[in-house]
Amino acid sequence: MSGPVTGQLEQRKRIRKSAIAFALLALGFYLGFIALSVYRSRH
Amino acid sequence: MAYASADHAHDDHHDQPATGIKRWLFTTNHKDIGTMYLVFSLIMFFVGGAMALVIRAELFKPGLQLVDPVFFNQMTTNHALVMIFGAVMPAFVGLANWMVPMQIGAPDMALPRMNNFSFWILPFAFTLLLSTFFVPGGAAAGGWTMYPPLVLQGGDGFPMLIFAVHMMGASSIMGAINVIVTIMNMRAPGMTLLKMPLFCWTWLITAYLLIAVMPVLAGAVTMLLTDHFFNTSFFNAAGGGDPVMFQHIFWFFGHPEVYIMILPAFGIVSEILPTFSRKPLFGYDSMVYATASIAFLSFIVWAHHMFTVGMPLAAQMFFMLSTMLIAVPTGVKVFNWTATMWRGSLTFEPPMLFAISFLFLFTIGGFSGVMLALVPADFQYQDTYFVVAHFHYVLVPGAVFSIMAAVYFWLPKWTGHMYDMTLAKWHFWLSTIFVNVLFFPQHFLGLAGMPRRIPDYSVQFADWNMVSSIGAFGFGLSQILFAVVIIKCVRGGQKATDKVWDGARTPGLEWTLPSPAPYHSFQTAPRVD
Repeated sequence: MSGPVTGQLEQRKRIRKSAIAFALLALGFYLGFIALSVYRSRH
Repeated sequence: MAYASADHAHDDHHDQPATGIKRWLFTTNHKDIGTMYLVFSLIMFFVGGAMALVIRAELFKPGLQLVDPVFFNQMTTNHALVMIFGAVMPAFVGLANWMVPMQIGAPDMALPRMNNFSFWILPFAFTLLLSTFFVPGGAAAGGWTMYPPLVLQGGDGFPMLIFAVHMMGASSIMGAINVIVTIMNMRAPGMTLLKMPLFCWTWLITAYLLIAVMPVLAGAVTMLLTDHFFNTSFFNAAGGGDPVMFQHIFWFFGHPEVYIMILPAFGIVSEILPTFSRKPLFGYDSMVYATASIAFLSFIVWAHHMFTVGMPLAAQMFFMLSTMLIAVPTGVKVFNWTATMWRGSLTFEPPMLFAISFLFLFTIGGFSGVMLALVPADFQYQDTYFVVAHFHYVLVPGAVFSIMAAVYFWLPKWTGHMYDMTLAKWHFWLSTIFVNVLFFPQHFLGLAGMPRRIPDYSVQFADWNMVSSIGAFGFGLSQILFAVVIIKCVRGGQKATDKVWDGARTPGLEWTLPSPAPYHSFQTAPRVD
């Protein structure tokens, strides 16, 4: 297959961005619940 | 809907899989990875099943017969962990890998290398988990819920368990990201969300659940780890912590986890019933909204798992009512499936048999779930065999039967061969009879007061335990037929047509592909009108 056409490049960018966004969201839940537990332990 | 024909042939150097072990180690092909997930899941199903048989063998008669109590507790704990994280979840991820790209008209998953990574984490995670049996202190024995302070008293196996759970979580999160990103970015032109097959819809919603709750489990077990090794006191009452907080966090993960294991099953059944009823699915839109409602409600019901720890009356009422509310969207689904079959031209091939069995038996599990939602009743049922009967009805003739139905439904598309229908029907009937012999008596035992997670019991429970154990061995042995049918089908058999089933959903992209599905499908996106 020759190199990706413009549409495919845009699709790849979208895929990369949304994958990173969901990974950050998961990280947020992980750290968020630990932070909540720290808060709860101190109050 | 109609589809423009797509060119499935593709002649570049990626057209054929690599040979030998390299194919499986380095593959980025969704079909190869799907196959590996499914094979792994089947192996874990037998490993977890063997543990279940140790449990049922010990419980065949009152008194301690075969194993010591600690080993018995290790069996109950690891049976659950293996079945949940090793058998059911990977099976659904395997099915998603195979079918989601084919159903939405995509050439592969959006993130193929991550796909490979998320699979290959699993064998390491489960090797680590199972190797805890051989370290000082042995495997975890305090239940799959890993409640402190009991779990913190574990030996060298404790950190191994925590690391294994982290790896399983990472694998699931990566799998979920892949499913969401694939569905949101790679659907064929014209395939709007509300034109997607129900299996894709249920998996999309499941993937959101996974991303929301697997990190919560990871956070909970990380805190267990720091409590054990770094002198924190998240859950240690002596240090000002609160063990009940762990239960809240765990079940905030744990209840959506139940739906993670059942929503894809709903999707599978919603694919199979219309096919063998030769009618479109009744109430497609309401199925989607019901799935989303169940997913939303799954986040606000967690404390029904822990009514007996003590909580304010208002909290008990809230969690009781929110739990009972789940019966509404679930009822919509059961109604729609029944209406789909109503006046259909029904035939009873193995996938249909498993799907109908799912419909009846999952509903029994649902009913006992509503009973358990009632706070005063739950005070009686808590930690009895009634709970064991309830969740096994949901998970075995529910989730596991749906996986078997899916395998029997799509196996001809994967292998290009029809399987031995007679043997598959034997597998169905033996499984359905024995699963009821196994789990139905557990309702009686629970109502009579038999506690769960014990290796010995009072003599008045003897008869139904014996019946249940006979059912367990019958069910376990029946599963050998499942493996035989699959192996025979992979090795050969009558050639399957492209459509495989004459009632297959006409606007169904997966059925437009040849059987077996080519290594690369939909290189050119099909157009959905």
